[in-house]
Amino acid sequence: MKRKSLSRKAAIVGAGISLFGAFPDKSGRDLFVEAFQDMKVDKGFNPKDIEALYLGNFSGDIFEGQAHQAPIMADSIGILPCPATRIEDACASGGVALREGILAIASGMYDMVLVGGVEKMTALPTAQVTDALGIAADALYEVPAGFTFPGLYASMATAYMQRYGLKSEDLMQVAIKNYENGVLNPKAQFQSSVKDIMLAKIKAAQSKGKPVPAWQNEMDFLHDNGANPIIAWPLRLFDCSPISDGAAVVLLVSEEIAQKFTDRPIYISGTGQASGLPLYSRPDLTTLPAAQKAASMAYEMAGVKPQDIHLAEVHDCFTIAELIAIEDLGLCEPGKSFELLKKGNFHRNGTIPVNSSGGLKAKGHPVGASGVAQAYEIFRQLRGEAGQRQIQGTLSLGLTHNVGATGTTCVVHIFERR
Amino acid sequence: MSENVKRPFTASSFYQYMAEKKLMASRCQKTGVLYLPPKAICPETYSTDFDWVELSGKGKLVSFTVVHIGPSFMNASGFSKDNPYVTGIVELEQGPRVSARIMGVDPKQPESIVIGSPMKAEFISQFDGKVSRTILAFSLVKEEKETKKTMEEKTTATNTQRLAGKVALITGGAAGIGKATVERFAQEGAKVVICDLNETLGQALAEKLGPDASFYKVNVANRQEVQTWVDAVYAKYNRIDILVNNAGIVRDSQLVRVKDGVLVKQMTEAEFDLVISVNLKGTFNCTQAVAPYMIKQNSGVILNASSVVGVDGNFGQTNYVATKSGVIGMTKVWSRELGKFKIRVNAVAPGFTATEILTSMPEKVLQDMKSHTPLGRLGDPIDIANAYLFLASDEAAFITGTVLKVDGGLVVGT
Repeated sequence: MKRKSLSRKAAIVGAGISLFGAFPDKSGRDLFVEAFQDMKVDKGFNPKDIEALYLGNFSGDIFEGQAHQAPIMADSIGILPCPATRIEDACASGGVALREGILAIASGMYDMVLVGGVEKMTALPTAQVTDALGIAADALYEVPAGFTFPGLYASMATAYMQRYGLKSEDLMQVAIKNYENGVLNPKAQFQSSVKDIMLAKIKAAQSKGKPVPAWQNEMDFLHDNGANPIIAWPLRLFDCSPISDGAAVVLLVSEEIAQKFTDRPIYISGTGQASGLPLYSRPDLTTLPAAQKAASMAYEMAGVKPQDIHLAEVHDCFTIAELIAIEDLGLCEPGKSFELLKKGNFHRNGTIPVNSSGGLKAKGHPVGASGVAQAYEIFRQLRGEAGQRQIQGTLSLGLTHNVGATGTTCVVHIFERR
Repeated sequence: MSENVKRPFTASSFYQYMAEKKLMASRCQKTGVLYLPPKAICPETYSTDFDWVELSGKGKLVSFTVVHIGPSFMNASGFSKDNPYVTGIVELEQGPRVSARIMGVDPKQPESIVIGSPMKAEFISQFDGKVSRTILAFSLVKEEKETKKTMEEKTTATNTQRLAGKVALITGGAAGIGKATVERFAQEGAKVVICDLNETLGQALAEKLGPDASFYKVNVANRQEVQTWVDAVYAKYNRIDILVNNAGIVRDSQLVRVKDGVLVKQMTEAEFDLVISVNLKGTFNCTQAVAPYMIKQNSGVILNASSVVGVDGNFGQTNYVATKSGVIGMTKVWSRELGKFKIRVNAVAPGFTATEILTSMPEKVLQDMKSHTPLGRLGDPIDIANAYLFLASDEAAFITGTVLKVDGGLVVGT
């Protein structure tokens, strides 16, 4: 089979994001409008020129009683009657929406496409959100065995621990890193380090005259069953991404016209997507084969190798997921990610910074928006616009890795600053 | 692997088989490869020619988690009440993998659960408060040596804890002989499951006895309620060792009472039917619900409440005596039918015992009973409970199909 390539490439010329968090007074469309208004295009653009909207949205139906959100979002930003399509691939909805936008431009059909992602999750009680997320797993063969989403990723962690000697402390290092990155992201749901959260709790206990916890350091805090309860062993609360509201958009145009909108477009040089078996029937639980496949497609299309990548936003819906992602992307050998993390390789000043935005873990995980928010972060970083969290040094190649469910969908993109 | 079955392929056929307690995989007839989840189209040959093959149910643990916040809706309802529980992925010896509840391991000690351990499939009932459904579970296969050791430990434990770890269901357990039996069994280490219509007394008794006792409000005459109860108990404990069919009522009346040649009173049809439905059919209902589980575990004890009047008859108790005789008959039938599964079935025939049920009896009759009892007193509920205990324990390992009279030597006159 001949090598797959795009007949023409797409570039991102603008990106916007809403605040991520829990906002009782904002609906999904408020968040989407907020993200759209946050998008500034250097040389300006006319929204009337948007020819299509691809919207990642996992379950507005369940989360806020609103299905069929794409035309509603298109209307809310004044771009009717342009075709608006909702993409649902669980937590990879945003990343797949981006890919569909790229393919639509490559087809020659459109020159300007808006890609968005939105999810309003906090209107439901936690237990119902967990149930709604759970049905992205195999509702016939996994959920009836009592599996929840954290439970499925926990099974990956258990298998990984058995195979590579991972300890729960190693997982905690992922959370600590991503919370530290979140501190520097003004849009993140959590803008405190784990240590700050611990100190705040101690202070709160002191001011209320309650017994003051005897945590000496953040590891003590993270080992405390009260402060950091087990959700699905071996995963605890701080191993899980939060329930979030949020939206993100990127404006895609064909590469020929990109310079009309900005002198610094970010080109998408590789896109890959693959599907995988449900977790239980996979021969190896310590890797997502669909992520490996999507990554190799994207690398091949972009003509680059894992070691060429300067920074990556990966799908850390759970701490174990980040470690597996790093390995599936070829950023290190299988079973080595947690040791290299301890050495600081994936920290913001490391060899390949991973999740400089704070990741799903600290930035927040409004599921349909996450894949687009990852592209937003890479766009900002490659353009040197990431503010306090700007990664230093020459950055020209970035990567996003977005996963649906337990890796039944994986989508990988490679971004390039020329 | 047993015979091929020609059930048409649908995604839910797996569950239809599971309801029949069969673990089935779909097999491509061209390649012979087994698939779980079952596939409609073979990914190798694109063939749609599949058949279903029954799997042995043996496998090994691939991975697991302890879920602390379980799902609570749709086809996973009923899990959250078990929080925390262990669930995982098992690789079957024929190749396919399944996700399933993992039983018989301690969710509080996940570190002690070993990946790669041999597992055996079983089917458990999951009860969510409304409906009961069959789900797939796996438990650890114990090594031969370990089993022997456990047996030795059990024998030693018998000296003080004759029912240690046994799960005992006692119907009508809230009062009288039932209550005494519940308390006696609990003393001997059983996990007692009380069913009764009297919620106040039953609940209070369960609370008094602590976490190893539980109460369910169940009408034994209602088959659906009984099935739901038994399924729930099995789902909770994953075994049922003892059933005591103790629940019983009286509605005494003469067959016909004639005064001066005129019929003045008779036992009503309702009185007859009610006693039959509780004492006789209730015993049938409970035993029928429990027996499949006991057969599966290849052990069990069923104890039926008969009565000396079931042997000798009694004035004014057509309905009651019919049930107590009937119970003796059923005991003898079941001991034959279930013996091959190592299930013992016996009946206890108490004499007149000082319980609430006797309050409807005239004092004169009770005095008369005492005078006909060589040991010179009415039975105490504990006397009957001790008989049940003996028959339930391994000391009665070779006793089945018998009726043990516990009546102080009473001889009922005419």
